[in-house]
Amino acid sequence: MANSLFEEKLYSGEFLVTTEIGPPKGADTSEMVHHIDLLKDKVDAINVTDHQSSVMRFPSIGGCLLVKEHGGEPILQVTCRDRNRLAIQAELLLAYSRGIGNVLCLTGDSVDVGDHKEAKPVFDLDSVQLLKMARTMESGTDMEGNELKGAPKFCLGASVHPEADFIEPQLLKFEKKVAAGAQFFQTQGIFDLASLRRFMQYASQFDVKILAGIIVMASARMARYMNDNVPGIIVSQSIIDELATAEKGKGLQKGIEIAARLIKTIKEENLCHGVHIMAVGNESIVPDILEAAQLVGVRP
Amino acid sequence: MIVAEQKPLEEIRRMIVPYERVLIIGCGTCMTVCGTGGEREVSFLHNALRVAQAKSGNGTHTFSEYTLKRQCDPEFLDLLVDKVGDVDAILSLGCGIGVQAIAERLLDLSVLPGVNTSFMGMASEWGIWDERCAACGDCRLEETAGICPITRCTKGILNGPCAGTKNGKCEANKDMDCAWVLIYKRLERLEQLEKMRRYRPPRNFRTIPRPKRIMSRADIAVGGDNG
Amino acid sequence: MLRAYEMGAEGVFIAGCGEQCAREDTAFWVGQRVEKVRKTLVQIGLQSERLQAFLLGAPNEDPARELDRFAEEIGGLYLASVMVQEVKR
Repeated sequence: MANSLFEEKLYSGEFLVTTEIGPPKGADTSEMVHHIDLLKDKVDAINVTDHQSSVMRFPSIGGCLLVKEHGGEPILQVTCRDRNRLAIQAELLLAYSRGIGNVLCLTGDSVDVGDHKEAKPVFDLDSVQLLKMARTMESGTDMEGNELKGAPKFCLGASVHPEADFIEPQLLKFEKKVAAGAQFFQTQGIFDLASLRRFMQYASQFDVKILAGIIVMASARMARYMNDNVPGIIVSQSIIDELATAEKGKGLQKGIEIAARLIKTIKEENLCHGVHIMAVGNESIVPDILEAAQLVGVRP
Repeated sequence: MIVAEQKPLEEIRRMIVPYERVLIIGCGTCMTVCGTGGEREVSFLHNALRVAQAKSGNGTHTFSEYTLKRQCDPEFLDLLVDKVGDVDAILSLGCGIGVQAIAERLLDLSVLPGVNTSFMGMASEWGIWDERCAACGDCRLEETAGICPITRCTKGILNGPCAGTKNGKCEANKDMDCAWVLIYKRLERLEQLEKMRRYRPPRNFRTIPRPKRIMSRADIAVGGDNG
Repeated sequence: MLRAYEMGAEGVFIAGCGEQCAREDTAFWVGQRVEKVRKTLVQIGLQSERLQAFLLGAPNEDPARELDRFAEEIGGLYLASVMVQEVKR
């Protein structure tokens, strides 16, 4: 009996498609709701990010509740940057009680890259400890062994970085996450399919599902900016060059083309179990990517 | 060693405004080594304060100087007691411990901090100090080939690295090495990578008792050899 | 060095040993101390140019000319500060 709709799909053998929505910096959720309505029937699940890049925003749990309200399947993102183990356990209970069963467990970007640089970084836990803690709660107790009145059940995910320039420590960490209970992984941006293939050769020995992260770049400048400033993103020179060939004003088109091409190849060659589309600040173009990649109409 | 930096002159001048006779007290241990608050620095600061006072035309402070071997030791604090008869405030160039030790001893005087105590560290090169220890009270350097993840990893995580490492540097500060890349390489060199594969449970952040206390009377009394 | 300013000096010119110095690394140490005092001068509200160091013994260098130049510069700084005072009044 699966813990969520997404978990069912995870084990169905279908090619999975997820995407993410960035909440607003403020209490006005109208645009976010618009994106939810636009995407909820086109993808298997929608992640709502948690102060992405350490920029203060409307919380992931709030966004997930809205996704649920509007009939979509949410994935809650929990980072360890802002809250201690008490607060996180509490949020997991809240999520489960409101039918949000999918949780992506992350350590979280450093406070220093965001817009509240003097804030106190918490990091009471890291992503591996968070995964283990969630699994402990499923067994009926909190992490101190105290009995829970109503144990939650989750479908747990984590992130991995197949294109890291020094891959061995990342693989070591990946194994720890699998051992701690991760069922699915959404990777950091994939730009080079060769590294994805190499990674999958290694990762396929584990019983986990891998969704390749696809980031849509709108221009060569954006790619370079993200390379320098956003943690976990390494855009290959060939992609930057290809983006640079776009005519003025057609940068986004090029970005969509590149993303669609990557997705099609991944699907046709069965490189991994699905894709996770990240259109940073540009959620409305996701349907265009799906169409270009010929992934429309496959969602029930 | 404890490493600190002197506060900006402006800030010190602002702190001493209400006090006419100020005794500047230095410390002969850590603060001398890092060139922040030893006897020479006390003297230099004294001169700087006088020049500043003369140039600005306001302020009628008079200063005196004294340096203790260590401010954090009751044995040396005793020496202060009869030196503060005609003093209105003390400006301590000792670390935060020294300032508090003096304040606890001389209850009727204001004790002002002249330095910002920053960290416990070592001299990587002459005159360059780097933070190395956070005094977490639960040393796990055995697990990480002698490299501290609490001090050297920006996030202080125990199951590293995170995804933000690029070119062996930290996402938050490109001049800073990623501690977990360093740990991985050192463990690999020592053929102990197994230690990094092991799951590390969450840290104990318990704050009681606060402030922490260690009793070492018996240890000090025993001294060397067979006790 | 600071004492000189306290006694009323507008500028301090240091002549130190250059390459022929009997002791090692004079240039380095003089440089370090000058840097420290300059930082302090700025904190006091004086210009860092009010302290200059000159190392004797280098070819083509004329200490007298450097001193003249320094005196002129300090004179300028002095006049500027006097004008500022006038304006304030």
